[in-house]
Amino acid sequence: MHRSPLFLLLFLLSSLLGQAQIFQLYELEKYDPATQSGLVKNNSYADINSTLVLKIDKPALLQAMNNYAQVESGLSEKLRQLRFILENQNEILAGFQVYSKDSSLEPLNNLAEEMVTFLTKIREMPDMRALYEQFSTLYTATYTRAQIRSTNNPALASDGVPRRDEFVLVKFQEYAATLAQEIAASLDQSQVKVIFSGYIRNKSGWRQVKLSDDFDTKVEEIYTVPRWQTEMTAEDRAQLVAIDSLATNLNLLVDTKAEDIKNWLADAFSADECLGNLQNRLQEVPGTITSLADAGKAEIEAIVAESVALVDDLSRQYVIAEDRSPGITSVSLLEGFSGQLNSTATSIQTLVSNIDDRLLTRLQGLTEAPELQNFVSTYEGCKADLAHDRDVLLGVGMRLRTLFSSGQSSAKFSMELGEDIRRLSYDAVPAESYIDLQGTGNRANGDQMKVIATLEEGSGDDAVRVNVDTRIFSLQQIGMYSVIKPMLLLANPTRDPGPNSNIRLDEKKFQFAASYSLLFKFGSRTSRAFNEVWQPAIGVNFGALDFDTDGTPEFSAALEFDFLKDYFALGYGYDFGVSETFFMLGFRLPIGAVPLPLFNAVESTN
Amino acid sequence: MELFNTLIIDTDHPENRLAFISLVKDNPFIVFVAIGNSNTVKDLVEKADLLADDHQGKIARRVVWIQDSAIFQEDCLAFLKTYPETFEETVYPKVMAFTLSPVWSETKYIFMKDDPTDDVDVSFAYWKASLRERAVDPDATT
Repeated sequence: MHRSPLFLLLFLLSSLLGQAQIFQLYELEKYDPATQSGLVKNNSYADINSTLVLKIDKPALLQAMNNYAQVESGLSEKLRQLRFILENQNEILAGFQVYSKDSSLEPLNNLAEEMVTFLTKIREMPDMRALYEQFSTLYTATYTRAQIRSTNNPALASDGVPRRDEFVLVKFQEYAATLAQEIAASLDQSQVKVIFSGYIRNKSGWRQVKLSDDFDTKVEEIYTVPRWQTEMTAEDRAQLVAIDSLATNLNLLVDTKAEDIKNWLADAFSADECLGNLQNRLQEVPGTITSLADAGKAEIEAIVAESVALVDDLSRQYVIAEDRSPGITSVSLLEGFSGQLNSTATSIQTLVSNIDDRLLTRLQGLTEAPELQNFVSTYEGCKADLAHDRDVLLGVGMRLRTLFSSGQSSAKFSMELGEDIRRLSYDAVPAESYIDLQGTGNRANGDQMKVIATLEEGSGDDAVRVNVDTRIFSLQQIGMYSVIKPMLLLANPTRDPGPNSNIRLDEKKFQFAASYSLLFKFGSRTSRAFNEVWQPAIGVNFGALDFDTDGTPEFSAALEFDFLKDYFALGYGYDFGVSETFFMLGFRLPIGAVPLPLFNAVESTN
Repeated sequence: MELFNTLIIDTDHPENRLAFISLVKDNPFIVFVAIGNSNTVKDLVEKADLLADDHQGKIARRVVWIQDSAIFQEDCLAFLKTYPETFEETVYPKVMAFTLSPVWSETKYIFMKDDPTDDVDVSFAYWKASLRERAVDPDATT
């Protein structure tokens, strides 16, 4: 995603103008959470050997990410609506009784009762009211008045026309599925990376350092956060968690109710008992026709044969359906079974049409014979059962399938949101981490260290990085530490040369000599002048003087006081070779000090 | 729209009153009574007539449209006073519609002027008047 320079400038300005700090650094040894002691501020000192605690202010980090990422409007509203619908779907379907031995065979009768509570709540919510009105108006527009009125009488062919409450509930379920998909699409945006990186500057310039031993191959601590998490309030995230739970529950509920349908189906087939009888009566029909010529008789025999075949086929379909219905344990199986129901309903219609429109029409006027009367009365009785099966199975079965499959669809899409919820990698951003300075490689007093928190979006050439917080501080051995330094020694004997001394120098002459000093310094935690200008030290100087000018160096030792970064030294010593004391001036050679691992040496594990 | 379930009363003739009272008292219907002749009331009557088909084979629903609020005012007030919450006679001019429960003909929902009249409200009004609101055996003699 390309961000305009103006946006970046505005974001940087907002960062400069008092944005909350994303992280704080503390020296671990000095850190006390109660008093927040040990804080390493900008331009302060941190012990060069210390472990730093990096405390991340996650609310401030979230705020920075919110400012950085584009905020999508309307997300909270969609979450609220989706949660409301799923909650009510759960309540409605939980109370919805698919099958009861004592109730009528139409399992959709009590749905309206279950929806009363839903209606009560909807009336208090303007957006839900508007949706209900929209769906109810759509129902009125979709079906004719006659079709709507027919839904009140299961005996009338309903052709799968739903009742208003079923239609509205299905529409709410479809709307929930759409909402879940829209929410998932808006959540599935590019990710924001939160990066913590560290650098140390010495004479050679800045180099990147490893912040943590947890990631051996990384020099940066990178936490990837899906961008939508930055846009969500705590309430939104709670909504998502609730949605996940409701969707899972709804999915289980839908399958449980779908399993109940098999019990209903077992009792719903009423024509199977009469089919055998009907077949027998049909086969008797040709034998009763004595008043027709051969051609007419042949025609009736052909129609009867067809009808017998249709009854036979229908009987087999009933057996198959009755065998299969106990296996309806889920909505997906019901989906497949509804095709079977449709086929059976079509076969029923074909049989009825064949007998009504062809056979009975042809037999009109001939049906006074008792055998034919037998057939007609058997057929009329069976026809009522067949019509019932066709209407109830086709109409109610289709409507049940629609109700539960749309419920499962809304649950399925909502459950996919749960996968996003479970990948809450924002929570993987720790509240604190540790930076072991001993793992950052070579460093010396006065080196500057920089720890930066960065947000990055995109990848490759399109990646855009913005620093949101920086800490720059100096490293220093705090407290006492020791170094060895080569010094140029200027020694002036305290006693004038004379016959009683071994000193052969001209009077008031300083002698130059090589020496080295073992110095003890003290690093200040607070004073830059102390550390970087004066840098006082006290120590011992060991030199090679030649006060007796015989060409053989004499060993000397002096108590030395250094200042101005050891460039100047003053001291008082003793030449062991000639047993004479001396004052000394010292000048540091332009060679770096060698740390002496006596006290508080700079340690490195890398 | 054709009104399949509605008794329209436009005058205060005695036979109209007889039809109204008989519809309410002599039948186990939920009755939606609408009063007035404004466009809002006309729309409400059409909606109530349409939603009267949604009884699902249980308690049938009928609509009575009294086109002038002065017609049968005493009878309407008598019904309205059965409302569970207190009903003041003085607010009668603001009443747009009300639903009566079957058998006992008690008012269960009132639409005042300016109240919303969406499908959800009309459906709710019918359901409020359904027999399940009353936990009494409808065959009891007392």
